[in-house]
Amino acid sequence: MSITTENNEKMITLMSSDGEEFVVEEAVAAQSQTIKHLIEDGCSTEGSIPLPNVTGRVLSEVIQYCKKHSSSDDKEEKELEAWDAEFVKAADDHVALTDLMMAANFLDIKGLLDLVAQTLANMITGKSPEEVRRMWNIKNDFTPEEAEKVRKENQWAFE
Amino acid sequence: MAPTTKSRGYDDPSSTVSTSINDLDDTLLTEILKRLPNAREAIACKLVSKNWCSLFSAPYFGSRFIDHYHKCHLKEPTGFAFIAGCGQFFAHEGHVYNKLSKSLRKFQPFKPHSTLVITSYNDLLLCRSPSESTRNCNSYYICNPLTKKLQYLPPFTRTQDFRVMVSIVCGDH
Repeated sequence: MSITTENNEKMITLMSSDGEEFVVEEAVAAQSQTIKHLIEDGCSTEGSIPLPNVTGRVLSEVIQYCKKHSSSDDKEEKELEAWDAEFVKAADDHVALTDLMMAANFLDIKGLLDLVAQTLANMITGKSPEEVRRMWNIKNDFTPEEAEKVRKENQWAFE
Repeated sequence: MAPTTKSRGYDDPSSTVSTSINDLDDTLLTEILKRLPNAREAIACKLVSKNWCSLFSAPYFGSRFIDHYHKCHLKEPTGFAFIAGCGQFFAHEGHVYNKLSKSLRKFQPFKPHSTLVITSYNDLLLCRSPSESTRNCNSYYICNPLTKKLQYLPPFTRTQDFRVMVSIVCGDH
């Protein structure tokens, strides 16, 4: 469905996997390359654009990000960085960063993907393999012998 | 009838509980891990799990890591001491610092038009030149243009479809 607002801004309706609808300005939605291409291909003229891989909870976070980034210009770079930092901090309470990352990947929003991936990388930095496993509930499937082999092959990194 | 206990939300597809890092495919996991600040961090992470280990060992991980590293840290090479801090570097064949190479051509053992500076660590440069003795094989060496000292890396032959990866790996001391 495309509606036009008073300021002549074209509106787009996005539908999440769980049926929630979000009406956003086209410029906001087009932060996503995936949606941008769908709009260009005329997929937005009838009804809403379905996003089968993104739940409403995650989509609402993504839209927040897109709104902020479509309304800011380069001059506000510092402010935007601070906003991004707060955004990922808060996002982790509402939706998992991994959810956000998958959505950013599916929707092809490079800035968001970079932001979330860097945040996750920062969480690993300085942690031991054991700490990383505990943080993200990753199973250690190495036998002690295999672990020792990896350690030996990369001795310098473990010194 | 099966017991209805749910131990972990993400094992249950109907659950609204969020995904975890274990749900990311290798491409997305690579997106995260290539952003680790240096090779030491990346290699230490090999011990997390077998999946992570194989990911870090895959050739495409190396090139992603290098590309990202270069994008972040090496935007404006200003001289051969242009890298400070982190300590570990990879470089892959083909990455050429033209400006750098030009400015260094007057130094021995740099030969005009044939030597590529691949990467550097402080005063050390990792270079490649076509080998005079062996066909289809370049020679790599680490040199210090200030002291004019030079150390060749052991030769290795290139096999088909194999991207030569060389690195300078330095500790802080």
